[in-house]
Amino acid sequence: MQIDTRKQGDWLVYSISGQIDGITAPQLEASLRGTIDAGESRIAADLSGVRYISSAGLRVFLAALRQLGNDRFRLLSPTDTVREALDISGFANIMAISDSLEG
Amino acid sequence: MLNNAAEARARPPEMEDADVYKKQLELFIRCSTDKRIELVRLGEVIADLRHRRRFLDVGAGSGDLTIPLAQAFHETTIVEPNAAQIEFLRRRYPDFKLHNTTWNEADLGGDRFDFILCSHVLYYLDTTDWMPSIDKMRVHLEPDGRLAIVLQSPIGELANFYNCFAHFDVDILGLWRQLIHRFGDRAVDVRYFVNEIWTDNLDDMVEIGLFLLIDRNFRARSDEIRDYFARHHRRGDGYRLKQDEILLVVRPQLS
Repeated sequence: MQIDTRKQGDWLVYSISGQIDGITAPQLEASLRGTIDAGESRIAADLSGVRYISSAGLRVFLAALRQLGNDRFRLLSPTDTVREALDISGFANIMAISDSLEG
Repeated sequence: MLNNAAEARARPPEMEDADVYKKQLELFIRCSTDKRIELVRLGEVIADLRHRRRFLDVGAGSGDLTIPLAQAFHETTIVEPNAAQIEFLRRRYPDFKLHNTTWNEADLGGDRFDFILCSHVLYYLDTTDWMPSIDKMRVHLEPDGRLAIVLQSPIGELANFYNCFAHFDVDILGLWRQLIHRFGDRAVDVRYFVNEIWTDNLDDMVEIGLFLLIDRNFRARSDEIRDYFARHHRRGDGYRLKQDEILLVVRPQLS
């Protein structure tokens, strides 16, 4: 898993690529927690490069959602595989998901 | 009043009297308009089982989930500490194997089950007892069986209500991490769903709130609870409280 960050308006965009699983999820969780603790209040996770997500990854997103709230944490452009995981798990019903920050 | 997590967890909850608990439970089930979504999600897990021989429900309550799910299995076993609920189930379902005790005290010998359900039960235990209790369930699970744990989500309307009065979280995120650590990433699956609780009047919603808070000491704060629901949960002619729930499914054979 690789993480790159960029600022886009009021949002900090996490561009994530690779797999978010039990091995890599702790790294993502620590990064998100550190960023939120440092005061970043709007975070979007760009998932267009993520080819697999496990329950460990969903857990990290729920933790971020809990800290920031639904209007300040969103998922961008999930791949079909990730979108399916979000749909099947029911997370698509609670997460803000869009193709862009304007969406 | 419970002021912080440590203090809250240091005290076991004082349960309501059996009759009060029974009425609260019946009211909660009657007002839960989407409780069947939990059955649907559990049904999906059961459909995926290799065998459907034996089913264990840990903390079955009045059996509102146990009774429909039992139809999918040859044999159903219940562990439930509430004597009145056990007596009700004994009269109605004489084929069920009933253990009127707590999970930690239950002696099931070498029995193993294809499906073990633990729905909204762990709140009654100290957080430090969660994993030992789950490890005991694992001992009684068939190698290709499934363990289903349902708890409320840390977000949503009920979590807000719970945090407002009980001042501690249901640490499902911590449990989830421990399950992944113990059984492996591929062995833990998740489903998120939402139940809605509707009442016609404020009295019933307050009683449901007290039921959800578990500890009868909160009855002294009924007026505060009434104000909370009146301010935040009035919907048209009635009251609505959304209950976000998380189902964690453990499949140890994948660990």
